[in-house]
Amino acid sequence: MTRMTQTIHATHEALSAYIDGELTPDRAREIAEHLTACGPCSAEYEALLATVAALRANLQHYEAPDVLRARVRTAIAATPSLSESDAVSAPNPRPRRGRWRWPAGLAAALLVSAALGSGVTMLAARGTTATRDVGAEVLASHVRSLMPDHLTDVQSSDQHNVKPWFNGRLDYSPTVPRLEDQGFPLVGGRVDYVGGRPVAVVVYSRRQHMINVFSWPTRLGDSPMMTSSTNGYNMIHWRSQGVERWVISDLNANELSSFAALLSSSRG
Amino acid sequence: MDASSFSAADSRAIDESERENLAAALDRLPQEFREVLVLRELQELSYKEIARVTGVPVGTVMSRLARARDRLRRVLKRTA
Repeated sequence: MTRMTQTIHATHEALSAYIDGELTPDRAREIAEHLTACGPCSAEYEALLATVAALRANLQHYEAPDVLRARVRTAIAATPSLSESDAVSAPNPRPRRGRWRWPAGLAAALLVSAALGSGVTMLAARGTTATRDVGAEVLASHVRSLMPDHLTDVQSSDQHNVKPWFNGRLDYSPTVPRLEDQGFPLVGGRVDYVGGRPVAVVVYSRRQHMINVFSWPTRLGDSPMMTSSTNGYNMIHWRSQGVERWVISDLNANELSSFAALLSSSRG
Repeated sequence: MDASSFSAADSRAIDESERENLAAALDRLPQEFREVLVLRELQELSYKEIARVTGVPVGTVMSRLARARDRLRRVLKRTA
């Protein structure tokens, strides 16, 4: 970080930031102009570019525990309420000071969940997300939704209000069965983001517990229900008939399983 | 193996032995270097986001990333 004089040659740090598009426009222009005039720097730039390309193409095959940890930490750190505030309506609130302290059981729980997923491990193809990444994002979205005014964009206990609300917001329509008679009244719906794409979230409740149901279309084959538990939240996910669903709540695992079974067997 | 078995399309994919070298090199990286690399190359976070997630200044992110890439470049042995 020391620039002793006006740069004669581009430092590796500058080239690296240039490749990432992280230089100011003026500085980027300086570098670009310099590269057209300087053979050695140009060669350095090409070599660095090739390194970055090779890293991006191959890093996904590297499955160190701290790679997973970094992903999970990202998903949770992306939630402002978790990394900054003291007041979070989570079952086990922790004292927070600035930086989020990664919950130790999380990676283990997600690894177990991923291992249990029959046939679904790391999806290495570009543009798809590994199950454990999805789980981390679903968890983060769920916790975020428990903040005031974050739970629903459409609030109604009538599925005839909730289901059509998704038209025009998503290119598919989630099933929104009525489960009030079984003790799971509908609360509403919202659109949220998982894996960089908008997904439907339908919210039910059981006594005072909120249940978020995420669903999106998938080209992957059916998979059986898989459960995991993280930090007081229970998650169940499965794929059936071209739809992937994730159910998450602090409701106990038994009742949540019943709910998932009801959801899975109902139409509408 | 003759030269015709290597095509231009293979230029970014690396073979098994190079992949092992890369994994070994990643293992040898100090944890804070590996962390910024993963956050940048896998998670595609901006420098500012990486700085927030890791709790260090942006300048430190920039320097760690550049140094991590320099170390791995020797392992990957790309020619310009």
